[in-house]
Amino acid sequence: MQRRSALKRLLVVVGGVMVIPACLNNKSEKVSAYPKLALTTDDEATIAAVAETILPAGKSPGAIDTGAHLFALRMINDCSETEVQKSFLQGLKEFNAACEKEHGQAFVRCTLPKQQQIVALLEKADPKTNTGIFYKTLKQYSIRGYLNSKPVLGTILEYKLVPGKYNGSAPILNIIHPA
Amino acid sequence: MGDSIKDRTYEAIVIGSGISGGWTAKELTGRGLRTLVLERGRDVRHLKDYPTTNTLPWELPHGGQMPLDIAKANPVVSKCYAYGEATDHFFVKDKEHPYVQEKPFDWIRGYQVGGKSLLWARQTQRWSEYDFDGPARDGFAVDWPIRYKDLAPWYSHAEKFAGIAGDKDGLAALPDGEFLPGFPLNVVEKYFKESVKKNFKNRHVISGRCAHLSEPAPIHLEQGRAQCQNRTLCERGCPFGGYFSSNASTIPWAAKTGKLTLRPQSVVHSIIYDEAKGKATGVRVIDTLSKEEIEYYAPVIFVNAAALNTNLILLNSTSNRFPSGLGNDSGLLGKFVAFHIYRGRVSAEYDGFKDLTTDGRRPTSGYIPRFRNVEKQETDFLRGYAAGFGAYRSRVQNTDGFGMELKQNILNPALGPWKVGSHIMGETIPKETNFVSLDSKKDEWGMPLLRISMDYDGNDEKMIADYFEQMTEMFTKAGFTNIETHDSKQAPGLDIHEMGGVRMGRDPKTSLLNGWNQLHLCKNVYVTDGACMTSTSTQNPSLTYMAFSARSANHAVDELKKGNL
Repeated sequence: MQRRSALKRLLVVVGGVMVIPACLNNKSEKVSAYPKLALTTDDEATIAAVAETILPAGKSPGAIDTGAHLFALRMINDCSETEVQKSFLQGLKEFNAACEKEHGQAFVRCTLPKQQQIVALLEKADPKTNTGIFYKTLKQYSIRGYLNSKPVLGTILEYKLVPGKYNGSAPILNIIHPA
Repeated sequence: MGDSIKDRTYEAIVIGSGISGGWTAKELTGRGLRTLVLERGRDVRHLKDYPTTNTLPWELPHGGQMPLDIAKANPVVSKCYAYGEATDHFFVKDKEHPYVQEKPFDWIRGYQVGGKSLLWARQTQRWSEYDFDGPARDGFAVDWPIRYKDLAPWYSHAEKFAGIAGDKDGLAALPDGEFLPGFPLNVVEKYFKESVKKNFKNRHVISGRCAHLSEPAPIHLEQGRAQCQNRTLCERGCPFGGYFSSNASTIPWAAKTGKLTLRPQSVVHSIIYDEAKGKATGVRVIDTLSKEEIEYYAPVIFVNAAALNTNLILLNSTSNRFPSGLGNDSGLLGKFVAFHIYRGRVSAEYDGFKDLTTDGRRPTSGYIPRFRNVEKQETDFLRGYAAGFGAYRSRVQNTDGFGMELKQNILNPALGPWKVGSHIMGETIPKETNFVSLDSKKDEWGMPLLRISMDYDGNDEKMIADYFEQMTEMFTKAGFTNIETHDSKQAPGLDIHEMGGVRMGRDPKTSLLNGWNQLHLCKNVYVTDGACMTSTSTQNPSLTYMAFSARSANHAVDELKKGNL
């Protein structure tokens, strides 16, 4: 899993285009799948890379493996207020500009430690600013998409469509799902 | 359908295919009557037309949430707990079927074969003697023309066929029925049950009786239904037929007799009254697709269009003899409508049983039958409330930070305390000032829009306050902490228990229907859905509609045979 995800990260970095999340997830969604956001392919690559830094692949799949960032984009496009969409896009723009200014390159081209450093700063961003809204919105929906995805909910957490019996007094099983 | 009158003549017509219409159709066809069932919506066939029944959570593009533009365009239906991405196709959209809210009223509707029986909450508690006695004892509405003993055998009849899971609790205020094994309470719910029993006289916590096949009997297998698998995705339609719906049960059963004609896409405009014969002879239908008007005829007509639409059809059934609606000499048609109070919730935590949790899902939870004013008046408000009660082990979702630590946390949420919650199911008093009427505007099928004017009153507010007080006391005695009360202030309607307007009673001057659910003034028209309700009590009403429908359908067949209709 580690080697595969490293390869994927490399693809994101080198390619820097939307084909990556699309082909990695067997999804045919194009940028036009989010008409209210009018994202460029670079924008989507940035969003995929930020989401992957929030939820990196490890022993378990990450944001790109699970399509969490695509879920987030779908929720922002389809289920969010116009003001949130505007702030999200403005925040993305400001974030891109800040990356160029502070690091001399786009987020996707930064090294992994640098990306982690940048996301650590985003964590501290004022949630009322555009950058803060961009990050919090992406993070919140990516987590929801991640936990609701087939690899996580289906495979790791073993969601049962047909659970059978209910046990109202069940012992606690100390199963640890490795990250 | 042929053109001749003969081809359009049946032995019975049933308007509506929801819970009550389905039951009426099953009983009438079972007794050999060639029956036409008219449904205003599209056909929904069991199994074949449940497109999301096996949809997995990750296959829903928005995780179950409706896109914002759809939610905003449909503010009423969007408030319904069961409405979402997986069930959208079974709910009426606000814009498609407008109505007039003289006062705020959230009208939740399901226009398809099966109606809301696909979507209901499946709680099935019997009424008791105390409930039917209510209006007479407390001096409101009018006296019910029947008592519990009149309906009891029909409750049994309905329960055996529908399949009701429940425990024999031996409570006079909530009579036992013909039960399949009940679903279990969990460890904290059982603890609360014992605490309530110890500390409060005549208060009980039981497993809510529900229309689920916990252990199917031969009659259920014969319907092609199987054991409930605790999926709790019921509102999508069940691939096992694990819960009761018209689609899974009564409609296919009626079809098997060869006596059923089901006509979807048929809005009933009005009932045709023949002055010379002194009775109804048929119905006028608008085909929703062709907009063509067609008449169908039968010697007996059942109106099961769902409570408020039944009012609408009868108000719209005008003639020389009945200028203000069929059977409406009293002028009471559409009045004394009522609903259930679902506004109040109480939540809390329990700091015990930390070594235990729950595993799996279940289609019901705890139920607290009415304990206020049961045997005599004891508060400063009339009647009382039942309450739901449930407990679950909470999980703490820590979404701080990012990277491996975040993943570790969200994949392995820590267990929090047990959380408990309750909600009120309160009786409202039917009043003349709560009513429905016809608007001058018409919809695209030529039906007048329904104007709805319903509101809470002082009795309701006192009842909610008492519920908060009593539940807080019961929670406190059980050692629950962080007790919080919450009043949603939701408008009437969201309870989806609208009732009345065509109430039963003994006197044609003060009621529309007699003790057999026949219009006093047009005896070959029966109303056995929520519109017939004289008072509301606290129980989820569907089981009572099933019993009324079965009882009246058999009465109608007997009366036809005697030549009385």
